[in-house]
Amino acid sequence: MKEVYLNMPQLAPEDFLPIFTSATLVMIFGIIFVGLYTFAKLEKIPSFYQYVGYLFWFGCAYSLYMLSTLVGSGDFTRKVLMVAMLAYLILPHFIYFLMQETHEQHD
Amino acid sequence: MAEQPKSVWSSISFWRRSAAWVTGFAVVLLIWLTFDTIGQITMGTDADLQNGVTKRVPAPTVINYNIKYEMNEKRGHEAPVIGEKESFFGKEWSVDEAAALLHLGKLTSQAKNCMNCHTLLGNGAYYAPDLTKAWLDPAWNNDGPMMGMTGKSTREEAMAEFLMHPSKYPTHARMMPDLGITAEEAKGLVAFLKHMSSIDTNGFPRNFGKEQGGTYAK
Amino acid sequence: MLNSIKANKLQFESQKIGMMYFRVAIILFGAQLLMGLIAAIQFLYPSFLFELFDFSVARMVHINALVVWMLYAMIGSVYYMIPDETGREVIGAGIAKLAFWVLTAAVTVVVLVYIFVQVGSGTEMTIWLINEGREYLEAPRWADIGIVVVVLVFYFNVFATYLKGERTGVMTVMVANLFALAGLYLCGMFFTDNISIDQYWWWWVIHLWVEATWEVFVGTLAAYALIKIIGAKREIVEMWLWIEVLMLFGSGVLGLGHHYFWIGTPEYWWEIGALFSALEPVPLVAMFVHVLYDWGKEQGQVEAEGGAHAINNGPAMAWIVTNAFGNFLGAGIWGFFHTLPQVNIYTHGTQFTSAHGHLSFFGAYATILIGMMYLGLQGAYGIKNMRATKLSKWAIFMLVFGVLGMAVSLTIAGYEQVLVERAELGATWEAFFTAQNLIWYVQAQGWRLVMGVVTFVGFALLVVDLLTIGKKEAGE
Repeated sequence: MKEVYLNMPQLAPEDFLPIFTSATLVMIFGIIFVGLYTFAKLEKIPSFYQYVGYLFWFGCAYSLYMLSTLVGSGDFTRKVLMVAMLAYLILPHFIYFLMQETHEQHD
Repeated sequence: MAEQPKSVWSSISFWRRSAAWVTGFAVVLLIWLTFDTIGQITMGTDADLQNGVTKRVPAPTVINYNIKYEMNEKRGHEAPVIGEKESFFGKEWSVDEAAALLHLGKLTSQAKNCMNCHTLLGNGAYYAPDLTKAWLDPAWNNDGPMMGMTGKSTREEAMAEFLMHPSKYPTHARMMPDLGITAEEAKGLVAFLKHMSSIDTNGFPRNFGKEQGGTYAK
Repeated sequence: MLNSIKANKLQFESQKIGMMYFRVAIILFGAQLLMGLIAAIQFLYPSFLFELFDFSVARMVHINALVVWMLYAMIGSVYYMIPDETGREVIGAGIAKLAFWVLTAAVTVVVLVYIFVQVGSGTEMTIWLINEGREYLEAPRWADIGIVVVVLVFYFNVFATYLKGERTGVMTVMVANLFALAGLYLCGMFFTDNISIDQYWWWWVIHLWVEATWEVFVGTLAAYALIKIIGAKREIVEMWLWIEVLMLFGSGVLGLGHHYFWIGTPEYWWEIGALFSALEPVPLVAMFVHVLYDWGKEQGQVEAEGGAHAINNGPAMAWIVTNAFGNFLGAGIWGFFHTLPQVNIYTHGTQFTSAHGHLSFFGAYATILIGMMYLGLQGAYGIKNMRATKLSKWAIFMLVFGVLGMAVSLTIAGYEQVLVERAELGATWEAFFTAQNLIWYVQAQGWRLVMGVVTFVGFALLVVDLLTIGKKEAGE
């Protein structure tokens, strides 16, 4: 049986609440970011909300960083996660770009 | 539909092809991993047990051995340790006998619908305790409560007795119902549980049977 | 909905068959909720129906009714959309009706055996005739084979019609996805003494259904419904459907790894499971944005043309928006917070799983299937513009509130279980019961029961609405 590279540390009972909270916040901040961005671009809400959205993206990235620290994942995993967050920053822009392209094409 | 898309991003055929490629790639990878995994979780043989070869899922004759669940420093979590021989229901079981007993036990575990109250390897319903390492539960130790209650002298006999008349030996208000388990079926079930406790579950459940202090338990 | 049998404006046999499936689906939905209530009561009062109708039986019927009503509603939805998508009547309507009655008779027998025979002796006979005792796949072997035959008939209907009719993108995805969905069922039909191998293939059916093929199915239905309800442009919707297929299968197929952390399978599944299941929420976010975007665009266009509403079926659209949100909430949030192996080793097999199960089955599947039923009613009564009644609004509110309440209660129970049973007391028999008897857990289970009753009231309102809305609005 090979050696294992994924850290599997013992978690302290008092860490569970912050773990679950930060995991939930990753998702909630994530969707608020995407939601604000999309609505602002669709002009359903004033366009400065797009920048409020970026704040939520920052909150999302921070929560994920906190989560990865709390569950004791290694440095490498943490770096991978932060790169993933950069990708997530681009995601709604990309989705919006796709929407624009298709609507231009087919309208 | 006939007009040419202006860019690749708004081209349906581009996305159709990409979807097919990505799905195909994921499926091929899954199939490849499946071959590897099935190889690793196929039951070992009696010879493996005799030669001390560690298998993720040992042969049915593992019921003839003492089983422990100990911290493996190299792997960073607990793993089953198969020790010396011990008798099971007062005898040593041959390869065929052990296989037949395990077969009966697995079949009974399905026929009696264990999984819709208990969890097996953590999967099932959550109304009754997890059975992954039930064989090793300290409640069945010599000084544990179950041995005294059932009036039996070995772990396997106490478990079998409990399984046959569970509502006669209530541990809590929530009881196991009498499922009409026969003596033979009960033996099979105990063998099934002992075999399951020897499966390498990557350290699940963690710290089985070891209390870490009880501040939250009051 | 009952009246739609007589006052039927549907021109295609296929759509009538769809309505037949919807009717049985809603009855089974009711059965599911009743069984859930019994099981919830047993958590609080364990002597309730003890050794008469035990938790295991209630729970088995609860989850089987769930799977079967959803499959009924899914099959119904496909029959319903066939004429719209292919532009023609389904091929083999007669045999399709026969298959419906065979399936319904078989389901009835299976449920009666579950309820009255319950368990059998430890022999192959039990597996063949009574139940297979594998969570979700309890149906006895004879019924398994029956299901395969009925599904083959169904698939023949769909595939033959697809070949003869118009081949839209929506229908292409549907046909390909149904093939995978049906084929996967075969992975759950054999017996093995090796519990690890047993669960390995068992997850192929369960996971690759609910986190891959069913999700794509939902994406396909949403695409069809968006075209139908708000007049979204087919090209755009279809392109999106392919992107969703890419993301859902790209993350969902290998996301299977998160079920292979602890069943005896090698450690490499930790990395694979963690990575791909962390990606699983991404398509759900994208689906959510897509629904809002298209809705916003179409609404804007209608308003620009001087109209008031882009939506021609209020209740169906409400359920589809709930679906887009519920999918993200139940599968995304509730899935993500216990999917990492470091956390999952503590949460696996606790009420967390149950909370996630309740919210995601409802959010991702029940919602859109109810939406499809409203769509069916609209067709059956020939209503041009179906508006939500007071009852439809109350039904959706009570159902959402009830299920969300159950999920939150179960999450609290699960959290307590993680701390006490898993982190502190070492996951033994005694640890389990200590955690089950603490006040936090008991109160959480109490709230779960209350919220279960709320859900049931919501269901009752839904049924009344489904039975009356058509006649009421067709008369206006």
